[in-house]
Amino acid sequence: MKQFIRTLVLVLVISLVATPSSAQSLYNAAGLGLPVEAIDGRARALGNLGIGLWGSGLLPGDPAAAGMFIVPTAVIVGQPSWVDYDHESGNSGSIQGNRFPLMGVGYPGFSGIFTLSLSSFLDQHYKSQRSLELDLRGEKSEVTDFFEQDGSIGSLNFGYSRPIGTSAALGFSLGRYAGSILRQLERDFSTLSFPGALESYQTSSRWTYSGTSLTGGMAANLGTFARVAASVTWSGDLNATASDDTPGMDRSFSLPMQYRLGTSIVLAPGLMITASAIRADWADIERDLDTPATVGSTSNIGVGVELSRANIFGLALPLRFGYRTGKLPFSLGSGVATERIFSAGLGLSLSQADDIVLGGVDAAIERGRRSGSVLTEAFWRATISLRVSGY
Amino acid sequence: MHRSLTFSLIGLVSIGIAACQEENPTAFASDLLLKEPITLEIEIPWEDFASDLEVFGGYGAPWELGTGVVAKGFAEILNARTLVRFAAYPKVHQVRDTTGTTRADSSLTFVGGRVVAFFDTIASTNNGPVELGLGATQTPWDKRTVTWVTAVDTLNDLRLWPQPGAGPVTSIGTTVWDPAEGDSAWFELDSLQVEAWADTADVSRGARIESFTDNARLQVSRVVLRLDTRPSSNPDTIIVLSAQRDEISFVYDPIPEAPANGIRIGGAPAWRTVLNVKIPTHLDGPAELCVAAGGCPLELKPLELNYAAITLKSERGEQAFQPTDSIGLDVRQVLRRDALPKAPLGESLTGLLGQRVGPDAFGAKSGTDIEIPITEFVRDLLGSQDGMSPTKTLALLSVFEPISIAYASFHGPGDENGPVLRLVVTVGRAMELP
Repeated sequence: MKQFIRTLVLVLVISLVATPSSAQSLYNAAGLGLPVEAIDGRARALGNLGIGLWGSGLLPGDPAAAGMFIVPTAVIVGQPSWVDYDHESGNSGSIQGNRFPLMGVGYPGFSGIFTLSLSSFLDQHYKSQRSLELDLRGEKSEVTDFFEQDGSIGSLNFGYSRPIGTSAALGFSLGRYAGSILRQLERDFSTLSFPGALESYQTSSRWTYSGTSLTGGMAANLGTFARVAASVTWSGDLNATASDDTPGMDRSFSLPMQYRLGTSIVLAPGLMITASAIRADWADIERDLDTPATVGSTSNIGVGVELSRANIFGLALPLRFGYRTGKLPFSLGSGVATERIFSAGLGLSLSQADDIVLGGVDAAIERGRRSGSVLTEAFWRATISLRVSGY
Repeated sequence: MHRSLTFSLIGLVSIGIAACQEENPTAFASDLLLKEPITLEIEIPWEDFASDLEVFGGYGAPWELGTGVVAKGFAEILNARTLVRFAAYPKVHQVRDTTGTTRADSSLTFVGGRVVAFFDTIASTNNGPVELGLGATQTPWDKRTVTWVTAVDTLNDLRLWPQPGAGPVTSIGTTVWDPAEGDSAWFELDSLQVEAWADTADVSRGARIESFTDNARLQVSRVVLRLDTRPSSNPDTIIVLSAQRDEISFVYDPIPEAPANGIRIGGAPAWRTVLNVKIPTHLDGPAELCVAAGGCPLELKPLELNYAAITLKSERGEQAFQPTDSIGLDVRQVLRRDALPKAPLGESLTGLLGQRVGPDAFGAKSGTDIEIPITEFVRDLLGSQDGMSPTKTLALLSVFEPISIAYASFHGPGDENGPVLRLVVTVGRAMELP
């Protein structure tokens, strides 16, 4: 218990050091942004979409998994990434960023486990600029518009899971979307030659997000060789409430149902394969968007393999490989953008009792590519999660 | 376990810190799907932004310039003379005696000297030689209040010159200043005149410099008294010591009348032009502005105003007071109009140097538009008035008062040359979510 409390404090410290997280893709500029999945290093390494993994877990998309292992648990996930982009305009370059997509704790009670997690949902941060020519006083003058959108949407989830018998569990979580967004435009006139300086034009609006989601799921172990899990997330409208002191209007966006399905199969001692899929139809949100955007359905699948017999200095060191592919809900240009990722990773058990990992680090490295009609991104993304369990 | 856990946490934090060096994604113009705001310039005529123009004179006095002016029949009307008083003569000087030893000599005899006048060649109007005269004043005069007709005009003490123009004087001599030969001219003094000016208790003492050449206006930048001195420790030697001028002023005639409907800034004493301004809070056009804003009338918000300037059209003033050098124009808020002409003023709206205007604008290039930016003032006004449009009073003046005998002239309201308010505004639709 003492260790658990200490871990919680450390998690809090880490979260304070790391905030604010920021953007990692130019696709943040499309529609409502780029989805950020709240999954840990193990799932990332296995190409998994956060459901159906053998063992215990604290993943918002798999609420039942927490009920399979009823001990106090805490997890924090850090995720730096490095992106090279190539735009149809001929511009190319690189960006980098960091985020913490998941922080969560679970604590037993009432024959089950209560979970509380803070997870990311959509990343919306990006900047843009454009040059344009003004005709002032009979002369053509070049000015620059600087646009910045700073925002993200996360979800605070409170859930409960409990085992059903010895090989199954049910779980649900109630989520509250939260976040804010600031959109501001500044026109810079510093290149103009007037008798006095021209002040920049500035306009901005700020909104805060709110909304509710409910996720329910089940997981079942089929003997000692397989697990299947499924979950569904219902979301109410995502409401964006404009600040009183800004001119923007309140808005509301329909969020899709999200269906997840996953399984893990132990083919042999020390060899496990996993497959998962997620589907969400974002089409309804298209009519909520004022700005034309390419909106599609996200049908993502992921497969992976875990070799869990490896160890180092007596500590288990499972090796993982995975692949996942899918579509992005919002795209720049005309076509729907796709994402393909190859991943690898390992886990390090820092403390283990029998087969139960009490403290461990899971690391994943991903090499991925997002391709759309106007923009291609190739990225490296690392995910490191720290998980601590114990009484 | 604890150690491993600690190492892991440190590693996680390190990664976080290292990767926190964000490089924000910058999308491209083609991906920026915002509607483009429109920027345009609007000219608001006098009737729609200003009223109650008044010109006030008498700020400061010529002595504050620290320079002098001499003129005779310049532009057929202007006469000006410079008055100077010199400081006390040196009492002690280090002198090398007959033995070659340098020591302080406090027994100095002044056997003659000369008054050297230096001229500002740019501010002076003459190209050829000008004959100048030097005279010693005979009437007590007060540098702060002296004018062409009054020698003293202090509280309960008004004394006129016996002769207008700081006269009469005891003539000392004449000289010629030719700008082609240098920037100075001098008048020789005999020992009696040097002796006469040594009495600093004599309030009538002083030198008057005048011009005998018609149609020239000279600016005297500095006057020095060089004293031929015989030290007691080495009486065979004449050394030259300097007495700096203690006071300098100038008198001139005629004093210009306030313009009937013009704008005047500068001069000595200085002129100010005061006007009431009422910044429009709503714009009803032009059409493209209304389209961009989604309808009119458009409430003008501070952050939509990029530039505001009072624009004046320069004109030729009286030739006698035509500027020969740049003038810095300033704008300040009049805090109490009802207290004019002695109303307190607010801070400068144009900065330390003001809006510089070259002399050509009032001569060969008269009719030039001169803009005096007041963007911050207008922005503050728009931000503070909350949809109302309070009237504020502004004073147009020179950055330093007085700045010179010359002043700047601009067309007043009432015709197409009148002052206008130029605004550059940028408006667009409210920032909305995608």
